[in-house]
Amino acid sequence: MSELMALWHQASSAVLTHQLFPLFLTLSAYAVATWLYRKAGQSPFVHPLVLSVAMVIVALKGLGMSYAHYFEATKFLHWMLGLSIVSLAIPLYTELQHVGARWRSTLAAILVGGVVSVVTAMLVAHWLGGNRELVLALSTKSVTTALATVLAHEVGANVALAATIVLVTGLLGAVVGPWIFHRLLPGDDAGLGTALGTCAHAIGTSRALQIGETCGAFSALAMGLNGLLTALLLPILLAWCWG
Amino acid sequence: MIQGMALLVAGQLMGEAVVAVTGLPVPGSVVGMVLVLLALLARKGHLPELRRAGSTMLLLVPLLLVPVSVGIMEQADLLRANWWPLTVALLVSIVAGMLATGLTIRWLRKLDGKQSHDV
Repeated sequence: MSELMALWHQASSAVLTHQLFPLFLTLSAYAVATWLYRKAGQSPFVHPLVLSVAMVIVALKGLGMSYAHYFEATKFLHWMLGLSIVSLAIPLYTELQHVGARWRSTLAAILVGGVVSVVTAMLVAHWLGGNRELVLALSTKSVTTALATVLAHEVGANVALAATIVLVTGLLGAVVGPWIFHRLLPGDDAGLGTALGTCAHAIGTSRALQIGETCGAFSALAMGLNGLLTALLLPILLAWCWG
Repeated sequence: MIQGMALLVAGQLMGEAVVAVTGLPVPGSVVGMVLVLLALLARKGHLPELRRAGSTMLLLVPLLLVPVSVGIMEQADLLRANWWPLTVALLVSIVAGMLATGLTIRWLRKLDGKQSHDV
């Protein structure tokens, strides 16, 4: 019996200490999460990223594995994010063909909405006594997570905190965004899409796609342009404000 | 697919080179995105391999975000200390952002209409 236990320990430690184990953990958590997401009718509350992150954290705590070890072994997934940012040029190109006559109000709305949502978040957090780390992590809140992590790194913000803030922003926007917008401009699907893409990035865009194709297209365009504008302006503005 | 991947990587590397030379305070991948957008505009979108690889990359984004997002487990103390300003800031910001976007459209809608009328 004790020999069997010894064999079991040998086998499990071979698996747990292998450098591929964190990748296995990530892939299997993500596979389960996407399955649950589809089962739940793609509700934003069971977003695959939220679910898989929760599962990985529970597994790491249970196994007593440190985050540093986990991240070291899955770093190459993180590096690939840069390529997904480059890939955003593709939906941006496609949607640019569709703005047509509305380009003036759409572009202005993206600019105003993008600036207002970032500035209000940073000011409110500052007034309520949030520390500098928190205020800085809020600066990338309305760009898509892939871009936010890279930008947060660039401006010296806490990357994990910034990623969490982006996620919560997207979920909030997807849930309350359409309700707020309908008080202002009922029935304007293109406008709603612009607002969702500007304020709630990719999660808002997937909500917009459920509302309709036009709404989704404007949302994808707004997300892309807002991300691009934020990436170009934020580092300059922060350097100017904080020296 | 592989050709498209090579083009995407080339786009990012060129972006990194531009950032290194100009000292722009912008991630190299963002400059890479602009370069690829310019390439798509120049070719009127005829870059099928790149589009295939790019679409695959975009599908994988949530998976690629897992490693960095798991880092939140190290931030429990920070979140506990700041939950109140954080929650209020996020709520105020989403309402203000949606209203600002909507009001700008409502205000400038006439501008669109008149201009498209003139053309």
